[in-house]
Amino acid sequence: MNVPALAVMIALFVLVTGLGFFSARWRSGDMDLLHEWGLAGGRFGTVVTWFLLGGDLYTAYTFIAVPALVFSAGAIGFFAVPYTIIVYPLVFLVMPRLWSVCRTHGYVTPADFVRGRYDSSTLALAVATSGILATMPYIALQLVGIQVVLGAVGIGGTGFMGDLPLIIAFVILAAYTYSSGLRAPAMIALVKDALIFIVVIAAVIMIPAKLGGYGHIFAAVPREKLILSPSQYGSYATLAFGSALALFLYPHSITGVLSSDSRKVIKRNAAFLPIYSFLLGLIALLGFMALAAGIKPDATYGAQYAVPALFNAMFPPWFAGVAFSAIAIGALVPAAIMSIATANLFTRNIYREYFRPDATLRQEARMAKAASLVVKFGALAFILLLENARQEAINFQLLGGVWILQTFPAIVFGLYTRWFHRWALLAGWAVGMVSGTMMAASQHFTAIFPLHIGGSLVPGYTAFYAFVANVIVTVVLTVVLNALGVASGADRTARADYLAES
Amino acid sequence: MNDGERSSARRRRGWRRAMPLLLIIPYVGTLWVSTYASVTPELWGIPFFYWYQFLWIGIGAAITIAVYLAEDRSGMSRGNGSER
Repeated sequence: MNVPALAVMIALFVLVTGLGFFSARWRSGDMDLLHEWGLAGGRFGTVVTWFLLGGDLYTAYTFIAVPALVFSAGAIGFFAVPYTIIVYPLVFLVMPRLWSVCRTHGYVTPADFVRGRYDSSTLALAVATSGILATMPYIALQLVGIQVVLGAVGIGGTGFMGDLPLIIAFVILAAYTYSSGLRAPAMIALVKDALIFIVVIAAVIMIPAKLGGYGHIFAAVPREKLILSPSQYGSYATLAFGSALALFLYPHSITGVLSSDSRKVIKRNAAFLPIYSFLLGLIALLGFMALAAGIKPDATYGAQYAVPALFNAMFPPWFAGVAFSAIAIGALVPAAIMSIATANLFTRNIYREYFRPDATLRQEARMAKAASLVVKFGALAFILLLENARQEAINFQLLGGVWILQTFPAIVFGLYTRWFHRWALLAGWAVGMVSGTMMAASQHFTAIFPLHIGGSLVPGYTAFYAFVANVIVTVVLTVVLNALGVASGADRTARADYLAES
Repeated sequence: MNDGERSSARRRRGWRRAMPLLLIIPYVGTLWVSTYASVTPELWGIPFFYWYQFLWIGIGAAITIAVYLAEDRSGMSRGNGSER
């Protein structure tokens, strides 16, 4: 057991726990209202939103998985960089429209918007379920991130005692999320991001110094890992593009967007969030540093252990503790936001829609708080009880990416035009969900599907192919349904709502 | 305002309206993989493939900032919000 590292971790964990409970008083509002609990009243300015979204999107799992992929598969893992470059122009254009229409109508979730726009609770249900299904394994993966770093300080292992630290961390997380709502992860994100910046900057200076410089590191990487082969170009581009289209459809991203206090905040963040992309690029390179340092895949955690093992080998024990804390706290922030976002979806678009249409605002908020607990403990049970849970969580998270992208036409096209027919969007969604799931399953849950077009083989990102199928079906059926004059429902939004400043 | 001023104001507005099109540039720069998937030229021992993409993080952010500022300024000159 690494005692100095463990001591540092415990101290930092106590600090963020205090912050989590204290945050309820920060710009305080009535926690009995869903809008206050689940969106922090929509009062976050540029800086807080930057930390919140940074903490939300660049998760612990990202910090483990991206370098792990670079470590095991090489250059293809670097797609995370173009992915997080091209996502922001899209955010800049699209998300202010979503913010405006949601602010005008009091929508809390993307499914609320879809319901208002298309007059279809079924389409809204499709969007809400995709969001919930895609987010659950993502929460589970944050737990995997914590497990890996606990393993690295030597307090992981099997049996109840091995699981206990994870359980304690999660119970405390659940408690302050319950009481403080979105304010808790927003405040903790400040600590998390500060730690991550310190650790990464130290890592990219200290580790190359020990390994003889960047030239040495890249020289130690085998040629087939160092550079893409021409057959991988299509996969690389579609992985980046498809992931970028999907990122801001995730409920936790939208929750972060909707909690900001103006369109300008979102636009400024689209300009300044790339600072995290730079950080992510540096983190990706840690995978090569682990290769150069001669680290081997771990028996329990596989390639995912590459970065923790690198930190253990390169940093003094106490600083390795800081690094592991950064990763663990980096898991708590998104796990909290994801559970809040999932709870919002469940409460608004399932509970209220189908079970209690007459629910008061207070009942709604109470339901959401309870749902956030269920979601978190569901993820915890999944990780602790299921055989081979780590791999299952990774597989489901891959499917989650496929599923969430299928909500793109209903949400993003819907922000610009009402031309698409609601039943066509629903059919397109269903085709995308089914075809994407089948493609992923046929490849044993790797992200790339080898599509045969004519006589040639075009490997590409499964989610992207399913999305293309979705769009084709949506367009064709829209033409057909409009020609047949099938009722398309009332649109409760007006043109000006998409540009409203407040 | 005379005709010359009016047409130059219209030209400026046209430019500002076209600014968001600049946001396409990062997509071309990063998704056209065959143009940059090579080891050389290296920079401080870092293969082209890697430093090129790092460079695009900065270019992408700079473009977004430019579009934001153009919108912001055109909003102020008309004396209303930054959007329309």
